[in-house]
Amino acid sequence: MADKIKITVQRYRPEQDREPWDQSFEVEYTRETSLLEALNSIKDTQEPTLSFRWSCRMAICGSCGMMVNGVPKLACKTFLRDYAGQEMRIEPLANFPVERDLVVDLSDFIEKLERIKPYIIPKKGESQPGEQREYIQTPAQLEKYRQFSMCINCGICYAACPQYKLNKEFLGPAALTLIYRYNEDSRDGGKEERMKLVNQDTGVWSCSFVGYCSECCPKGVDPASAIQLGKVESAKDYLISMFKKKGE
Amino acid sequence: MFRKDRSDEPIYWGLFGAGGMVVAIALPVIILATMGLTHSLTDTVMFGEIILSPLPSLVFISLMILCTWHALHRVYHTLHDLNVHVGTLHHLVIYGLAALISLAFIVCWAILVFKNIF
Repeated sequence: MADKIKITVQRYRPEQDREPWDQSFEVEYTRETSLLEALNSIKDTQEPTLSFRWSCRMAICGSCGMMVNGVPKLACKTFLRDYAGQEMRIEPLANFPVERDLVVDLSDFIEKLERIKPYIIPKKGESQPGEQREYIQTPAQLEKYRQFSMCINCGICYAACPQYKLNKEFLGPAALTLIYRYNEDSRDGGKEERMKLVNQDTGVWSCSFVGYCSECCPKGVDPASAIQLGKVESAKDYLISMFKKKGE
Repeated sequence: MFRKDRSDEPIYWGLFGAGGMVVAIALPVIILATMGLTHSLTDTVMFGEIILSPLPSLVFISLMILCTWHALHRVYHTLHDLNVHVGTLHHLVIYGLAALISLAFIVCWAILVFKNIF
């Protein structure tokens, strides 16, 4: 037997609406119904103009991030059964400009991801250009960064971060976590380049270790711990640079 | 003082971290140890004798200095959370205050030691 729940969605259509407004829907659900399925059923049967991003339905693509009762979550990983007896209020991901309904403009986040070079940069002199070979890594070396490589770039940690809310220059949880992930990779040689971003005021030092990013992360990545580890790396780098300056 | 390419935060973060450790671990141990030595916290005369002798007072004052830096670093970052966007002035005032308090502690200690010696 299907239960019913009231879902209120914040709507915004830039060509018609001066400001966001609320629209409520009654949705039937079973134990297995996810919020994403509920939104799709609303779009199919009640309000065809409702806009939201989604793709994989299984917490891999990172497209369906949104605020559920004020908490940033993936719609596909949120189940209506957990809100039985309550109402649900769905808003676009916080701290990002709204494009339309639940669709936000993630370009600031994407630009930051590009800036940190989130890929393996070969060590200098280790391989010739165009050369193809294996780069061997032990399980222990893999374990150093494995957890931080689980990020799906959904932007939920940015919606959770009070420091990103105050200062959009802050590199933010996911970007700093990915910096740590690549810096700690035994095959990577790009640490020196990336540390320049980490060492700035807008790098790890903007984080005040609130930890809500780690609480909200749908993949258990724990960005707050990656940033704390990044602070240790940056402090070491600071000390080394002091001695380097004197030697010059 | 402010460099765009590199934050000077590691210094303050280091002092903040050290201060936090002191408050959480060293301070309770010192208080308990002093209690153990005096058999009572209410024996202020003996407590004073111990805490005011040169070496224990140096340890105590070092702890107080670290606590000061810890507390003022928190104030600095809380200002930002309260939407007071910190700049050079806030930086100078808050960390300058921490430096002044530290200096005052050191002066107090020096006076104490000189009094004890002479």
